[in-house]
Amino acid sequence: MGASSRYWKILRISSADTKLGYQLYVVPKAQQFFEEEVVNCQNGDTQAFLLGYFHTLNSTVDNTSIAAAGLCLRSYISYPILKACQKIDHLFGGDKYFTYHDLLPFVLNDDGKTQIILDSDRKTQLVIDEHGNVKKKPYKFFTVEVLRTFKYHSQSSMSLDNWAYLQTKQNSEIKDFLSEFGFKHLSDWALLNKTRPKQIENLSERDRHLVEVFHTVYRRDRREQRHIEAKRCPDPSLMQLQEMLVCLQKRDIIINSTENLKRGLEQVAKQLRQYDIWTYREPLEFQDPETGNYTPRSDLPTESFNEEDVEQQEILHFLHEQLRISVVTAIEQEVSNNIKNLLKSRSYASLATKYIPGLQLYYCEYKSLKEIVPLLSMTSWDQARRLLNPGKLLSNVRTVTIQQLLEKILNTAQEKGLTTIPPQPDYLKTLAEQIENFADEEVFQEAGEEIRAGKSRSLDSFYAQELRITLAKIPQTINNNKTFVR
Amino acid sequence: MINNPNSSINLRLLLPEVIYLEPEHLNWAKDISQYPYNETYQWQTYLNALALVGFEKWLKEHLPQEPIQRKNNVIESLMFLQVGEFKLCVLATENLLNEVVNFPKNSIDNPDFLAHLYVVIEVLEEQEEVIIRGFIRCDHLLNYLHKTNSQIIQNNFYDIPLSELDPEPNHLLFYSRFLEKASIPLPTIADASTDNKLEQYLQKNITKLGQWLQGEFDAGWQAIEELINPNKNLSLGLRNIDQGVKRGRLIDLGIQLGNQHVVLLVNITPKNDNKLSVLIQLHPQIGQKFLQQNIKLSLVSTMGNILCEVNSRSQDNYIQLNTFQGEPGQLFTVEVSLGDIRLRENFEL
Repeated sequence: MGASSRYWKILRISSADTKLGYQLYVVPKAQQFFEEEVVNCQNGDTQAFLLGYFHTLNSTVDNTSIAAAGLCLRSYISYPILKACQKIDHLFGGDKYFTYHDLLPFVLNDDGKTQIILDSDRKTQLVIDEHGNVKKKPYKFFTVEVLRTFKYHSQSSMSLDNWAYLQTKQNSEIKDFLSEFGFKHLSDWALLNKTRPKQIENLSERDRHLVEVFHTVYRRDRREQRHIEAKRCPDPSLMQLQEMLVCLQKRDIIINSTENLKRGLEQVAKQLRQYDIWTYREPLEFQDPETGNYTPRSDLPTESFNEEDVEQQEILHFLHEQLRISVVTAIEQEVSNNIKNLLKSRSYASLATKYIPGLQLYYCEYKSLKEIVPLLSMTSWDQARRLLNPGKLLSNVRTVTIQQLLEKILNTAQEKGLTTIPPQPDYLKTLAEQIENFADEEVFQEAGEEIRAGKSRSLDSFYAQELRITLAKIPQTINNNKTFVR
Repeated sequence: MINNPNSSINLRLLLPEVIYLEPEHLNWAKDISQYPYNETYQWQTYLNALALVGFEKWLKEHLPQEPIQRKNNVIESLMFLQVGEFKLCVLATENLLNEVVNFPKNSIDNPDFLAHLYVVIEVLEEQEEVIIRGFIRCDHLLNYLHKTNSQIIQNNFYDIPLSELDPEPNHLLFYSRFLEKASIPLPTIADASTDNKLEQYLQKNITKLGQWLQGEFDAGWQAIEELINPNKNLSLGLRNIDQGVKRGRLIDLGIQLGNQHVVLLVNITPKNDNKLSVLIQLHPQIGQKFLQQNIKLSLVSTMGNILCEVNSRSQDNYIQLNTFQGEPGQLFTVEVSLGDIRLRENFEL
């Protein structure tokens, strides 16, 4: 089955799945078309065949088949669209006001059912109704828009995956949304402070001077007078504004009052909230001068390794056996390590006794970090997050698990003469990636998603269950966890 | 199983490697970022320092057995960690929304700075967090630059797409654990692309300031009394530098200007932590009261960036660069120029 199921299983937004925000649906029309037409297609290039079908100008091809080919392609590109949304979420980092779930309605709006074709000049989406009549579609599916604008004939065209990725990042509704919410967690002053030369280049000359002068004064004071307790970027002080005015004067920019300067800076900050300013360069794929081929971005989904391979089969069998054992030992080891590390930290040593009770509240009582704050007499959500940090524990358990598996497989591979000692870096990397794909699929993906799910967390992953067992083994250490530290 | 669509979604998108900074990290970064000269460099050094300490904390947690050592080059605002057998260069940025990483040209072109692995860290200064965004092996990086025939885009930076980086920080740990130094070969000085003339020049002609502390001076560096009218100038310029070792060198700015000579004066003072404090001044030669107008004294980084500069005005007795500190082994260049005439002196602390 493999990767081909991407052509007849579509990702759609779903309110039912609060954990993911989307669900995978089988598209029967696409599956049928794929099995009847594509599987036997001559040249073996599935995607080119489908694109040729969907964009055909041959009037003898029936509309239903064109629409079915379209459904296959619409399913296929729902994956890079989701990936682009998650990537945007990931790149914003930090404590922002949105998650990728908020972006999905703009671009993952395909119902996976409606039969759609394009008009002859490829400008309009047309619907085929149940009677086979063709009419104009009242609103557009984003997937079809991606296909409509994809120049697949062109020699220089990029891959469909990358086109979908790029179009998602440039979707106007996503851009508007990000301009409004992307930097909402940052004050004007934090945003100005964070601005780098690449963004400054996009401003007018006068505004560039304003930001540069702001940096000269504000960043200097930020470094030198940073109050650890109040980490937020404060409003610039009157003294700072006055100094900026003097600096601006030297650059022949006369602003008559500190109030006007402050307003001017706020105006610049408003511009800086535009998402475009931060993304204006889009490296996607490059042409290899030797082969003339385009190499797709390495972060886009790539074909997985061939499961038919006997050697891989053996490794998979071995992995299945070892994975769960490794997870259990890694959880015990990392809980213990985290306590040790807390005891070493100047800021958190005194709170180390709250670590196990905190984790129990989180994983056994399903409390949120916010709810845990008063229960353990902590001072803030930030303190609870930094102390308990369920994401870091998970991440560390994953690291240790994968490393244990990697070590075992490397030993086996060396015994069989499959690799040298030490291995080649590329071999090591590929092997690690395969183990990660496997382990994430089996254990860590679900565990990661449930942490991010927010309120209605179910916490029923294998990882959560094993963690609860580990925590239950050490009830006597709740009040004195030092006994647990080995 | 492996081909389930969810498996193509990298867990790293959901679970980035975030490291929380602690007050002592911020204080260290604050201290170390005082040495560069203008605010742009200071801020970048501050970010680099935060990235370095955060990353170092992460490494120590994950590789408790490995020796980890800082190797900073504050003057270039480049930060390095020696992790076991591997040299890591830590590059900091504040956002990667355009999915491009700016690699300082000299972090790649200068053989001294070449590292086995380059780690890109996003610093969220306000949140007191850093995120490991990815890393790239030296051989991959050079290969990419070669393949794309990469030109310097601007301001001495190579723009590398984020997608060229390995987004999984764990692989760094695995490299360190399972590989040997020779597994990631670094080009030697001979075959590195040293198109940087200044760099080649530096290899040959460097005044080693550290040796001055042992009383060893290269030819040409004289006691200042031989070069500057002591009565006039000491009272003015050297009052505050009576500590440490100071030497001067006569610089000929060319016959076109009637054999105009100036004296480059360097004063070094040992500081805590093995550091040296450096003060650089330019004086008129004996018998002259003022410097000629429009002489420029500049501090130049090894990649050719002007870090700090001063111009002489009509009646300057001397001019000087801001005092700075550095660690042994750091390189810098001082340029004296007047119109088209440029003379450079290279130093190693």
